[in-house]
Order: sequence, then structure tokens, then C-alpha cells
Amino acid sequence: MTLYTYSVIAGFFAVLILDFILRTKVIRPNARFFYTTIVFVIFQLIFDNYFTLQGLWVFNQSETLEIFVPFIPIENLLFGVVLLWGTLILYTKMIQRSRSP
Amino acid sequence: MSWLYLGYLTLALIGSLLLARVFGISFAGKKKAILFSLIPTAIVFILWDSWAVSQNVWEFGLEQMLGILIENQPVEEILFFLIIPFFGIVLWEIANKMDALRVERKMGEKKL
Repeated sequence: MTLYTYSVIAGFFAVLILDFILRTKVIRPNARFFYTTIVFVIFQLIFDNYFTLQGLWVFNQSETLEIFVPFIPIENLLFGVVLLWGTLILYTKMIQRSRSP
Repeated sequence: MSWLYLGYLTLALIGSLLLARVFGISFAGKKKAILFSLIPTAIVFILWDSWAVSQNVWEFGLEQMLGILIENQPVEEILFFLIIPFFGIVLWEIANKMDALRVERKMGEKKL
């Protein structure tokens, strides 16, 4: 458990804080949040695994927990989810701003 | 050198646009919101990715790519951080639309 693990956990908390500060309420236990995240992760599982097998990128196992699903490190799933949530938080903020001038 | 990675990204972009079309998602009046959410997130993730490569957390199979690098980032990787989050926004818009339909249906039931 080293660099990838720590940095992705930091990223995870960063988006939680961002959602709180911007008051965007993206990360909430509701249908749209779960639906978006689950569908995104399913695509990620399919394509990231396929790309890893194709050799588009190679993970250094010693920087991870060495838990693989089934070929990509578990950190990579969280990396993708942080990318998704971060975007949705900013997107929601921008939409809110455009609706209330 | 290969077009593989860029090819996949192109398919992802076309797939996202088709998905939006099928579900009747309109981006009218939302272009600014899309740009101002995609670009800052992409910048943060490119920096993160660049740091990860410099620390040998992962490396790229450059023979599957065009081989054009900006610092240690292949151009495809930079596009990845714009196209994949766009796909996320499409999913989010579909989810919002489903929510709105559900509320409408509930209100319809109440009227009956």
C-alpha cells in the first residue's frame, strides 16, 4: 500500500469536501447518484481490464494493495469514480449558477 | 506507433453522443457548464497522472499509441480525461431525466 493507494484515498476525500463546500449534493444516497456511478463502474471494469490486457498501460503492482478486479488494481476503480464525481460536482455547480443569476 | 488508443477514444465519444441522442438529451444552454466542468477536472487528473508516471506508479504501452507526448503524457491520455468524464455527464443527464419522469408519473397517479 503506497503511492497509488494513498493518492486515490486523498482524491476520494477531496471530492467529498468539494461536494460539501460547493453545496452541489452530488454524492448522496439517491437513485441518480447510484445509477450513474454503477453504470460508469461497469463500463470501467470492462474497458480498463480490456485495455490493461491490450497493454495500453501497465500498473506497478508494488504501488497498490495488490487487489485486482480481475486484472486492474482496485485503486484504479476509485480513480475512475473520483474522476466521475469531480466532473459531476463542477457540472452541477455550473448548472446551478446558470439557473440562478 | 498505433491508432488503437485513439480509435477506442473516438468510439467512446461517438457512443456517448449516440447515447445522448437515443435518450433525447439536449445540451442546449449547457455547453459552458460542460466545458467548465471537463477542463478543470482534466487539468487536475493530467497533473495527477503525470506525477504517477514520474513516480513509476504506472507506465504507458506507447506502441499502442501515436507516440506524441506532452511531458510524460501521451495525447490520447489527455483526450481520455475529457472524453470519459463527458460520458459520465451523459449518464448523469439520463439519470436526471429518469428522475424527472418518475416525479411526473407520481404526480399523474395522485391526480387519478
